[in-house]
Amino acid sequence: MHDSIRVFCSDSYVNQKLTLKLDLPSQRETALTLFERLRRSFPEMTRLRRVEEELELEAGADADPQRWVAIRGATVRSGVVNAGSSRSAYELHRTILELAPYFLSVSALDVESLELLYGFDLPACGNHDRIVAGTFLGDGPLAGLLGHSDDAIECQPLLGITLNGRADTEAFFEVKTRPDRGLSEGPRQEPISVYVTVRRTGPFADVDALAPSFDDLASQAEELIETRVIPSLIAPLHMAILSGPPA
Amino acid sequence: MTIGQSSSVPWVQVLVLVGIGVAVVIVAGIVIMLVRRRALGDDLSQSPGMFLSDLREARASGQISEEEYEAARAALLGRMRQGDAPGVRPERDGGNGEVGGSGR
Repeated sequence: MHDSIRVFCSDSYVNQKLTLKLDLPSQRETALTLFERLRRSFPEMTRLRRVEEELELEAGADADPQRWVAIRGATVRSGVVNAGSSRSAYELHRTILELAPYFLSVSALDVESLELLYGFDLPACGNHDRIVAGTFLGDGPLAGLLGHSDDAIECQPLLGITLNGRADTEAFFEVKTRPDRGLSEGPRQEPISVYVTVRRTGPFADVDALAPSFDDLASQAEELIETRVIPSLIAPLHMAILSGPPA
Repeated sequence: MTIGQSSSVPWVQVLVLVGIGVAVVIVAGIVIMLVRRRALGDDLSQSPGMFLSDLREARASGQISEEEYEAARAALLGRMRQGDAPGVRPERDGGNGEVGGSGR
């Protein structure tokens, strides 16, 4: 991933979601066998948890980067937080795609979609929605909706596109704000998040196509982040946060 | 009274005064340190930082306990796993309506 992203963000993460058409087998051995196999490749992943309907395997508190895998219903999700390199960010996701057909009986027919989400957290004080509105509405027609004495309380832009003219490959750009709950007298600590989601929907030719599809999606996402997301979303937002609340 | 006796009295007084002065400075320093620590401690406990690096630094410096670190870390990672984002769009033909559904 682009190194310059670290200048802007406090935390960054890459999540993967493999969505199936049919629910995964519910037997405990199914998840445990996969988790044990993953633990061989990622020995720091030692914590097994059950959260509602979801089984999770995650790294210990001091592991760097933080990795997690979760299985629920018809989805297998995984995430890597603050990876030092693209290789480190992708290793877990790719391993899951290589193992899933054999450990979870996933077949090509069964795959609904493969999705990667890149999250970038920017520390921001004050009214997040005001910052985002001030940054992105500019002098465009939408800015006319905001009167001089009005204050934005909801402004979370979301844009979805198809990639390279392929109907089966989409990208979404989203800015996520969080309300100031006023719980603390000190400066607020919750970030504004920028999400880049790339998704490919099935059918896939065969299960061996999942890993190459992952590589293709990751490559496209990295290019989007470097050429569009940093200059058009993250850098302007970062500048607006640094320069304080808009007048 | 000898010359030695007459000159030792002021020296004793000076030493006593200096001792009192040093004691006052030390006590004042301790009071200021305690007040400062309490004030900073309260602030930090209210907003220990919501970023992984901040949390680790806060734990390493003793500003938050191991339990507080674990709780804050779990909350932070939960958000990254998309408990509250991205949003859900209206259903579309052929889609599941969920954007960025890497989240819970």
